[in-house]
Amino acid sequence: MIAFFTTYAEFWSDWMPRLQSAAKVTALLSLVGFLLALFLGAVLTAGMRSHNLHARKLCRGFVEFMKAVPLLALLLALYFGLPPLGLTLSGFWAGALGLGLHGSAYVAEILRGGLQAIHKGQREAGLAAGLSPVQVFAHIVMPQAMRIMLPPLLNTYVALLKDSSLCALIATDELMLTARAISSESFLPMHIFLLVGLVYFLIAFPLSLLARWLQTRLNAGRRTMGAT
Amino acid sequence: MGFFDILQGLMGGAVTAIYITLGAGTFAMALGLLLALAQTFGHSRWMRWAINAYVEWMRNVPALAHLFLLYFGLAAVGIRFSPLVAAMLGLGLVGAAMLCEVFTAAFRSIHPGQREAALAAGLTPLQALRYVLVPQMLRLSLPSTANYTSQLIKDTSIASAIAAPEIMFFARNLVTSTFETSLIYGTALLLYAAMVWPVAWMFFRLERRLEMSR
Amino acid sequence: MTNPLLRIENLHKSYQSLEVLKGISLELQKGETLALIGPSGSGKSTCLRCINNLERPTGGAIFLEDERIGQLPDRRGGWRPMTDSELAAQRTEIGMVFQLFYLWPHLTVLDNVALAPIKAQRMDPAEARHMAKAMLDRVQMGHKAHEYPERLSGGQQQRVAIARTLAQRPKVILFDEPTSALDPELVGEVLNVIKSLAEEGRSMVLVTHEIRFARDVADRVIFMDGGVVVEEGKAKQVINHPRMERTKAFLRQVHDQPVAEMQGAP
Repeated sequence: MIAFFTTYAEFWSDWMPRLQSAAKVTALLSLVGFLLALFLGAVLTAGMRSHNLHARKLCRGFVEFMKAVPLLALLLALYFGLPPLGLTLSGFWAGALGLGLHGSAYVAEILRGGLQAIHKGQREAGLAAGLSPVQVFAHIVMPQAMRIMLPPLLNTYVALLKDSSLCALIATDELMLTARAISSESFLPMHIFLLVGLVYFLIAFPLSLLARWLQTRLNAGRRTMGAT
Repeated sequence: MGFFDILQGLMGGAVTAIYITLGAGTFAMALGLLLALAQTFGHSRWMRWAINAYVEWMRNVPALAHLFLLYFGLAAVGIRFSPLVAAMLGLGLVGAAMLCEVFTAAFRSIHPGQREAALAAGLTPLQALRYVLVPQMLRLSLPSTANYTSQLIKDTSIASAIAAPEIMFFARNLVTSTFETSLIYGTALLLYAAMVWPVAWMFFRLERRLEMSR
Repeated sequence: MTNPLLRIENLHKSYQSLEVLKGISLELQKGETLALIGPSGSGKSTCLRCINNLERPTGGAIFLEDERIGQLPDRRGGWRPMTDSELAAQRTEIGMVFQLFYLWPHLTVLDNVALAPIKAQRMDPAEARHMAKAMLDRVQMGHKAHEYPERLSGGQQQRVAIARTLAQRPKVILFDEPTSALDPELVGEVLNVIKSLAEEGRSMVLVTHEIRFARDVADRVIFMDGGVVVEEGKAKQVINHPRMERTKAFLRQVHDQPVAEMQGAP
C-alpha cells in the first residue's frame, strides 16, 4: 500500500514539470474554446430570435446538429477530415475550434433561456420610461439575464475543460496526452491517470462549487426580482 | 469507395455503440437509483458523504480518464477488461453519478404528503417506496433521463480510445485503407445523428404518454 | 358504559422546546362522530396525526379497542415507539383523509382506491377492484374510475380520497380539515359525503373549521385551544350554548366572519 505512494515521490521531479506545462495548454485550450463558444453562441442566439425565417431555421439546424454529434467525431473530422479539403489545422486549433463549435450549441441554449426568463413586463416598463430598445437590452435585460446565465455558463466551462481531454486523441499536447505518454514510458498507468484525474478535479471542482453557490444565491434573490 | 460502402463499413461500429449504450445505461440506471435511494432515505451521514464524494469525483474528472484507469490502470495490477467491458463500466460509473443527482432531486420534489398518505393507508415504507414514490420519481426524471441517454450514445465514441470496435475506431481504420477521409468522417457524423434523433423522439413520446400532474 | 372505540390518555407532543399538546384526553364511542374545533395552532391537527402516528407522541398513550397504538413494550418495562414498518398493520385500521387529498398522480382513480387493499391487506386484485368501484359509487365518483387525478376538481379528488379510505375498511376515520383547501362551491359535495357517512353510523373524528357543519352533523364537539381541551359536550350544546369564555370568544370570532352564514339561534 505504502509502496503505491512512495512511487510518486520517485517520479515527482520528472512528471511534475511536464504535467505543469501540459496543464497550461489544457487551460489555454479550454479558455480559447470557451471564448469561441461564447461568441458563436451569442451569434446563434441572435439568429434564433431574429425576424428572418431562414436565419432562424439555419441557426436552429446548426444547434441541433451540434447537439446530436459527439465531440470526438467532430474533433477527428476537423483534424483529419479538413486537410484533404485544403485546410490543415494543428491539434491545438482543431481542438479549440471543435470545442468552440460544440460548446456554442449549449451556450446558445443557455443565452436563449436566460433572455426568455426576463419577464416581458421588465422590457415594457423600460420602454414606457422612454428608453430605446437597445438601452432596455443593455441596462435592464442583460444585467438580470447575466445573473441567471452565469451558473450554467460556468458549468459549461467545466464541461469544456473535461472535454479538452479528448483533444489528446488528435495529438494536442495537453494533460491527457502527456499522461498517456508518461504511462507508456513508465508502465505506471494507475499512478499517472489517478494523478491526472486529481489535477482535473482540483481545477474543475472549485468552479463547480462556485456555480452551485451562485445558483443558490440566485434562487434566494429571485423571489424579490421583478414580476414573477 | 462510395457512401454506401462506407456506411456498411461503419455499421459494425454502430452496433457496438448500441451495445455499449445498453450496457452502460442499464448499469448507470440501476446504480444511480440505488445511490439516490441511499442518499434520500438513508440514515447514515457517512454514507451520504461517501456518495457525494463519488458523485463529485465522477462529475469533475473527464470520462476518458476513467476509461484509461479501468482499461490500462487495472491491467497493470492484473485485472484485464476487454475494451467493451471497460467502456460499459467506465461510462456506467460516470452515468450513475449523474443519474444519482437527477433521481435525488426528483425524490425531493415529491410532496411529503404522498408518502404520508401511503403510510396512513397501511402500506409499509418499502411498499410506499415501490408503489408510490419510485414510480413518480421515474416519471419526473424522464426529461433528464432522455438527455442522459442521448449523451451516452455520443459518449460511446470515447470508447474508440481504448480500441473498442465502435464507429470512430472503424472510421480511422477505413481512412488508413481508403483515404476518403472527409466522406468517412462526414458519414460517421451522420450515423451518430441517426442514432440520437430516434432515441430523443422515443423519449418525447414516452413523456407524452406518461404525462402526470405533481 | 360500553368500552370506547378510541381512547386518548394524557397525550403530550413537543417539538424541541415548543409544547403543542399539553395533556389531551378524549374518548370516541363506536358509531360516534366527534368534531375537533379550535383556532389555528391549538393542536387539533397534531392531535389527529398522533392517532395514526404520523406524529410521534412525546407522552401519553392511545388505544384503539383497547389495543395500544404506535408503541411496543421495551426491555425496561416502558414503551418504545413503533417503526413505520411495524405500524402498517395498525394504520390499516385507521383511515385518514388529508386537507390536500394526496391522491397518487401516477395511478388512475380506481387504482388509487384499490392499491392499499391489494398491497397492504393482500386482497385478491380482481376482488379489490370490484370493491373499489363500489366505494367510488358510494361517493358518486364511480363514473371517473379510469381518469387520472389531475383531471378532477378539488371536490372530486377529495371524494376519491374518502373512497380510498373507505376501501381500507377502517374501524375509525380521521378527517384533517377536509374542506379547508377547497373552493367554496366545492365544499358542499364533500360535506354531504361526510354527512352520509355519519348517518351510516361510522366512527369518525373530524378536525374542521366548518362550525355549522360540526354542529349539525357531529354527535359531540371538543373545543381545543393552546394544546388543551377547553370544553367538550354534545355538539349543539357546545356550539349554541358554550359555557367557557374562551369557547365563546372563538365562536364569536368565527361566526362574525362574512363567509359563514348562521341558521337560527343564537
